[in-house]
Amino acid sequence: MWDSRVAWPILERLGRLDCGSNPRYPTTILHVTTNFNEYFINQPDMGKAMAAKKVRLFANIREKAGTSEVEVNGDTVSEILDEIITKYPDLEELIFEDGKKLRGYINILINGENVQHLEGTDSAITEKDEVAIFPPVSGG
Amino acid sequence: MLDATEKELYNRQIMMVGEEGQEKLKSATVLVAGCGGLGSPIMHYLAVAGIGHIRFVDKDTVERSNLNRQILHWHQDIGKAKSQSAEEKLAELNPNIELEAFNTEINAENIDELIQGADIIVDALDNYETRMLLNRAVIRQSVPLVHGAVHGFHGQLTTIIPGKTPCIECLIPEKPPKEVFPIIGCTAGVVGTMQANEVIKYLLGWEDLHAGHIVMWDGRSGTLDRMKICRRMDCPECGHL
Repeated sequence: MWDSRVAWPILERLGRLDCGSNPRYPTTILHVTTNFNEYFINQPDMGKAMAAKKVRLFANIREKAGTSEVEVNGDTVSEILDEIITKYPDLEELIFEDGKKLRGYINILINGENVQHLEGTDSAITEKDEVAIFPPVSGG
Repeated sequence: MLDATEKELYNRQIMMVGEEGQEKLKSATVLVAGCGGLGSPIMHYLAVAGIGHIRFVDKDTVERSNLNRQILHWHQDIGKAKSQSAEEKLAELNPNIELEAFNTEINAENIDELIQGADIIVDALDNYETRMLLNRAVIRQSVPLVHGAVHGFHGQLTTIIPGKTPCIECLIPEKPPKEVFPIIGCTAGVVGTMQANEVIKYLLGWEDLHAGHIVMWDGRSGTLDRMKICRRMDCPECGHL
């Protein structure tokens, strides 16, 4: 089984998919399987030790952390959140409620897709992904 | 057709958009939902740009604590309906345009009528409950919506083209609670001005909008970020399009 979060940036670079199609959708994947396998197997870093991933922070999360970007190593959303909280303990109450539950309105985007529509905090992340933590604001 | 006064009034932008472009702006109808912090700069710039018909709606009256950011309203207006205060200022800013003020809340009963005939809608609201009414209505009527929201030094903006870009539900599945939010006026000034800019470009038929992207303004660092955002194919609001 391939990892859909690994597949995304590769498929996107191949130009076969954009936002309009969901790479986790098996029917969509089928169209690119041949090309995908070639690309996947030829990736030199695939399966090796993970590299640092960059996560962009926004709004009050950015202010509390005092930085707009943080480097993490985790492979899933919940792993990277743990790392971020360890680095910036003040963020815990902004991101989580009732212990370890992600606050519903804290949006985590992976390449523009909300993790709530992927696999939630189990969603996988690779170094190719663009990850953003985006608490929406509401005033007007 | 533009008359001699209008040609002189809009001379500097006719240099950019031509008389043809100016006539597009003149023949347009825009609905601005909210006459507060975002609505103020949005309508200032739409009015002086010569948007021919501006419709706006707000249920609130002007309070002293509004005046740090809601620049359409002045000290003399405290206690007055915001829609009326806005109408008075806009009429003086540009007597060549038509204004339509509604002193009412936006609800499920009146939203379709408010949107009717508008070329584009601007979200200058302060809560997600009403934003979702607006989101649903623009999807129903297939009208673009320029979403903006602000808090403190931070703001966000995206232009929603129903069926083509993510809607508010795709982007923000769980809504943050309504709150008395901190804000410095210039945050609303920056984001509202960007919203007006989107409206003007859309009406001119220019394509480089923030559609399918979210723009994040950070006034503390004075920087903008722009991120791609994706539609949710099973979105309960726009997934059928």
